[in-house]
Amino acid sequence: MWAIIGTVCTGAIISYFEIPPLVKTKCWRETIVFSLLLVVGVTLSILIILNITIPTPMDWITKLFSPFSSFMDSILS
Amino acid sequence: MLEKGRISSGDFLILVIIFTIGGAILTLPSALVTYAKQDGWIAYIIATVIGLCFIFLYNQLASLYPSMNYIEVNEKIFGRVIGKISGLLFLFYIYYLSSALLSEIGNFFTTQVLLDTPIQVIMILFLLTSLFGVRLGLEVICRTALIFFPWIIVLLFILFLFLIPDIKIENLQPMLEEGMKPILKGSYHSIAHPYIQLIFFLMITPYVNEKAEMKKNFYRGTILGGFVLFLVIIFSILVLGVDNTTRLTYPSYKLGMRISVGNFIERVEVIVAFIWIFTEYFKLTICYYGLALGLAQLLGLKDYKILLFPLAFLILTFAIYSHPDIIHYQNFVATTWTPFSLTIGVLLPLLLLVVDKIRKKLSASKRL
Repeated sequence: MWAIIGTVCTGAIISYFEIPPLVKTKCWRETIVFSLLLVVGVTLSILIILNITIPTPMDWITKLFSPFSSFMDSILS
Repeated sequence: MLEKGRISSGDFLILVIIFTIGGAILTLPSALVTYAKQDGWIAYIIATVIGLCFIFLYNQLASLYPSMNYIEVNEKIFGRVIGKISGLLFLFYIYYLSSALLSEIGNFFTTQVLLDTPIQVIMILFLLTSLFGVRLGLEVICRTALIFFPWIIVLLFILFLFLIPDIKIENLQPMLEEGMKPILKGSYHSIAHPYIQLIFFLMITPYVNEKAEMKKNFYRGTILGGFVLFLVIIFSILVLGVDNTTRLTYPSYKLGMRISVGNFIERVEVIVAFIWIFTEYFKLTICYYGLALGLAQLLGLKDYKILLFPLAFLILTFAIYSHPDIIHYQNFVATTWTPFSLTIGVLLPLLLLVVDKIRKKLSASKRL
């Protein structure tokens, strides 16, 4: 529980220091990208703290390249 | 222009050397010797020659549009939509690379040095230091590398000098025991580890001052870094033997433990850890820098520094969930890592060059 509170607080502190200067200079694009990435990052951290398994993209890449890697294995062994 | 700093070609040389050594020095010998046995050093020489061909390709690409980095070149040649997609693939590659470096650091510390510390604490501390460096910009990173570089050289020199008494030439024999195939397999698996990753420097080349000297230094840096790795591999085989090198996860760390000069200088394995931490830190920092810069250019932002804190969260979480355990990681490196990096680090740049040639021919024939 404390870990989740700590993560959310860290996110809040970062946005407290980073967002006001952006809004002041009217950099809306930067503000949107920043908040989106931060929300995704904090959500992922909370999922990891709660021990929820996130499907890893590395498995998909392994599947995508498996024909080629087995072909290389058959050539080289 | 997002980055205003400029670096000299000498700084570039040092960055290339550090980038080549970093990450590979600790884990490469084990992976290579597993496939090629006592001929691992031959396999590594072959890999270096192939790697130099890649550097030739990257130099061609860098001289195509000298004032643009890889992301901008992609958009210029492929057009807006396809260019953004291929740029995104490249950024994913760097993103995975930085999180893999971070998890390597975490794994090394929790298994060898700080046994009871949670892995997240080490990763967060390392990433924060790295973030601090990236926030200060490219020039500062290069100057810091310049300060630490002599230390790396001195420590490497101490390591190799003190290991000379422990060399056993018999460990290299018999040469070519099982023919060429294991050697080729070893070099196939090791080209992706330091050499294809050098494509990252296409993000930095526009900010280097002397372009002609830079191209030469790109080759020189690769050869020097490769030479250091070659020494590490051949010393692992000569001192530890094939069986030990295969079995250990960090053979070069064990090399440091073997040092014993007159019962006086002993257990100096931490110097290997120092070399590794320095080089890995700079590798992580410039990867992180390139990731933030590339993402800012891809999305059309005015400043890349704003992305650093969110990216720190993303790199940290990806380092934890991309590989649930070390077996998964080693399987990935053994099967998929090489074709994956070949696709992004060789196939896409080749495609870029070809498309650019065709475009230039077409526009020339239109003018006639």
